[in-house]
Parts: sequence; structure tokens; C-alpha cells
Amino acid sequence: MTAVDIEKTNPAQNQVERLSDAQFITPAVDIAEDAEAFIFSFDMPGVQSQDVDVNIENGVLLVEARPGAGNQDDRTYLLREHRPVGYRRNFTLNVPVAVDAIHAELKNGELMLRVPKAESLKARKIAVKTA
Amino acid sequence: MWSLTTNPWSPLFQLQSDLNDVFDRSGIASAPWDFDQAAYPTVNIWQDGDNAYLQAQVPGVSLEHIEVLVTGKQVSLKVHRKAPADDTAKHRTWLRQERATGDFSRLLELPGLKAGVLTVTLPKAEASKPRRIKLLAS
Repeated sequence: MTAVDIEKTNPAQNQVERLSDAQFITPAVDIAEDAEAFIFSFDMPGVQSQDVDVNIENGVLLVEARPGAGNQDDRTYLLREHRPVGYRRNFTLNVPVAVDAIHAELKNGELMLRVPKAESLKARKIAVKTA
Repeated sequence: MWSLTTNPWSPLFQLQSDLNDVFDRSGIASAPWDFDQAAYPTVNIWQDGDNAYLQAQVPGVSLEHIEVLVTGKQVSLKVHRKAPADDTAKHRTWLRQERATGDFSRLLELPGLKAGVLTVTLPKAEASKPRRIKLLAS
């Protein structure tokens, strides 16, 4: 019933950018919703917690992780399927959220983000009294 | 079980991969469903001197769900990625699910392993050892 909708902003805003040698890619995400909050889980292997930035501006949630330091290009690769990359993805939140109460945690290469809904939005049970 | 080494959809993934290459060159960001990433876990193998190194990216997998098996030159890597807990009791609904769960495996070949020595180096934050590492005579 709660038509809460989270959608990615215009893909054009997610263009791959090159920052020195680093590349930013769009991380895969799972998003769940309960009565209290939205829960985001991103795949961000190789990321350190100090390199993660989470911001909300004008209703847009921006999640960004800078690539880890260190040049690995001088190795003799026999197989190379991944490179040090940064991650960047943004979402339009069309409902008010409690910005100051956002909780972020990095574990096993996963970034978990708990974004609580603003008080006014939380589901409430209304007691109905008999007259 | 979904083994990526014997995936019947491989030709389609290849097509997707080719399409992704076109998009990569055009400067448009790869989509989150980019099937280049369907090779999970992604693996780097490199060597220096007498050593070969294998590094796999396994986001969302805890150590007890990683299994490394070595037979001769072949390294079998199996990981299990747990499905999110069933939260229907908490009235949790999914708005988006892009990450695959289940069993994934890779079968890789290392350059000549000397004297059957395999060193598994783990990130220091994760001190416990994988469930099983076996070195079988080649």
C-alpha cells in the first residue's frame, strides 16, 4: 500500500569517469524496505571503510567508494578479471528520510546501509475505539 | 547448484559481454546487470619468481563458505553466497534484488606448482581459516 518508490536517477548521471587510472563502476545492490527504514546492500569488494562516502542532497542518495590505493599493473598477470575500481551509484529518494540516523557498515566486501524513514512516514497502528 | 564453468547460458553471456564492450567503448556506464560480472567470483592470477598468486573477489561471502581445492595444477574454488534471511516476519519487502545468491565455482589452472606447495594468504581481519584446503597428489 505504501507506494514508496526508490529509483535510480538518470543513467546519464552514472557515466564512467576516469580519475587518474581509477575507474568507477555501478555496484550491484539489493534494496529492502520495512516499516522503519530502507536497507541497501552493495557489492563493493576491495573497498576500505575510510574510502566510502554516503551523502544525501536534494533527495538524492549518493553512495561512492574510492578505489583502493596501489598500482597493480606491474604484475605479470596470467588472468585478470578485476581491477581496483571505485563504486558510485545514486538513488532518488522520493520520501523523506532521517538523514542524521543513516547507518553504514562494511563487511566481507559488502556495504550495508540503513536509511531510516522520517518519523512522519513510519507505519503506525491506529487504535480504533468503540464509541 | 549453479556452476559457472558449465553454464548452458555461456553463449548468451558472451553476447552480452560483447555488447558490454561496445557500451564500454562508448563511455556509457556498464549496467549493474553487466554480465561481464557474471563470472563470480572474479579471479586474478599473477606470478613473480617462484610464486603464483590467486586473488578472488567474493563480496558477501563469509570465510566458512569458501572452499579451495588443489589437484595438480588445477585449483577449484567454491563459494556459497547465502540468500538474504527470510524477513517476511519483519514485513520486509524487496524493492530491488540484483545480487545473485547460491553456489558458485571456478576451476582454474595455475602455472606449475612446485612440490605441491600452496600458501593461502587471508586478509588479516579475517583470522579464521577456510573450511577445507586439500592438496592432492598430482
